Amino acid sequence: MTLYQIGSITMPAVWIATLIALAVSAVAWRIISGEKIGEWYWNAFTLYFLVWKASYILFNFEEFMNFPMSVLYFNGGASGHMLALAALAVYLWMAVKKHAALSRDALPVLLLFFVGFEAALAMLEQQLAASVLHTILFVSIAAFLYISRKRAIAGSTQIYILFVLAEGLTLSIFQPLFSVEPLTFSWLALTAFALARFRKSEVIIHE
Amino acid sequence: MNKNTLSIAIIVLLLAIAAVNFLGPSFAEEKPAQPVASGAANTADSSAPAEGEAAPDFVLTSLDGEAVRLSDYRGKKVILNFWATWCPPCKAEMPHMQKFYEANKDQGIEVLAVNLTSIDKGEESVQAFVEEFGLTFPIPMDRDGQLGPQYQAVTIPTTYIIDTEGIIQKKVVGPMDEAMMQKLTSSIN
Repeated sequence: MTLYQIGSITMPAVWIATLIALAVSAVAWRIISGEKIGEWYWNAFTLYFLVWKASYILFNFEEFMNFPMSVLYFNGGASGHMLALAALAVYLWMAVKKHAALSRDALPVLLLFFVGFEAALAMLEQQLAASVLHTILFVSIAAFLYISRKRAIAGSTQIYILFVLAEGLTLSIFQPLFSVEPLTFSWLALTAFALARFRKSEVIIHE
Repeated sequence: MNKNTLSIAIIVLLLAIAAVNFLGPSFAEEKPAQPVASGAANTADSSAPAEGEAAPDFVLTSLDGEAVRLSDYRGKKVILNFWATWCPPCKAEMPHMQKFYEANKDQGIEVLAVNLTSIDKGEESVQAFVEEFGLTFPIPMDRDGQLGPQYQAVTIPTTYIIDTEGIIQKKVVGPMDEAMMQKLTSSIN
């Protein structure tokens, strides 16, 4: 566990990597698609953050009742992370019904976000091989998306399965398959594929 | 790229993932536990305890009157915490520290929570605080205000995670919860 001291607080590398990935993916998406990233992206992150933070109350009820301010300092930990991921999936599933672009953008954006997160985390933890591999993958995905942005292949599910598996392979070189990061990635990928399917089923209905 | 090429690539990747996970060894990059030579630590005052260096020894009398010497805990992992009763994040952290202590005191992990007595509100309030939170780990009292500055406990809580050899493995500024204490102590020797 790598920690960084910023002023009077200590931040785990995971938090810093999340913020870096959030910003880098938004900028990358702006360049790739020529559009601002959807509002859903920031909403989804805010929702994740609030559920993860507030779930401290749920999992540490006694401590919270004795000293309510403790919720400011702590979070729901691994259980809170899972709860927040579930909330994220529910939010995105509801949002996709309103915003058609979400269905189109969810896969590339979530993929960029997660691979960017892994690259940033490996850099912060000074793991050279992992950071190089994840960065190469991030740049390859971004380059592919940019080059093919006006071609039919950009919408092909298969190419995304390929990218997701490439990230899965890179992850599993450095950590066991059934640990928090690979499971989180699998969950995000499943959510994104489900959102992409939504558009296809809608199109068929409308046709 | 046609669909067949893609399908083949997908199958190859799936097989590679299976192979890496079930057949091959894990290539997790183990970082050396010590000494950690970080640039930031080197630029600081050379007498200040830094990660990768030995924790300066001390003897203090605890709240219940017993002498506490850091080097007596060699062979155990030590969570060395600096706190005061008026500090809200310390209040938030104490129940987690007590829970952690109860779960780990028989696992070779000790908690020493040094009270910054010289800048606190009197020993009665420390006693009341300890009773309120039901703290059972030793509370060494920094009565003459020497140890806090030596350990650079400027912002509190400040905590040092010390390994069984007496080497500082981590300095954490700000409150920790039980899970974080568990993670930090299980990743050291």
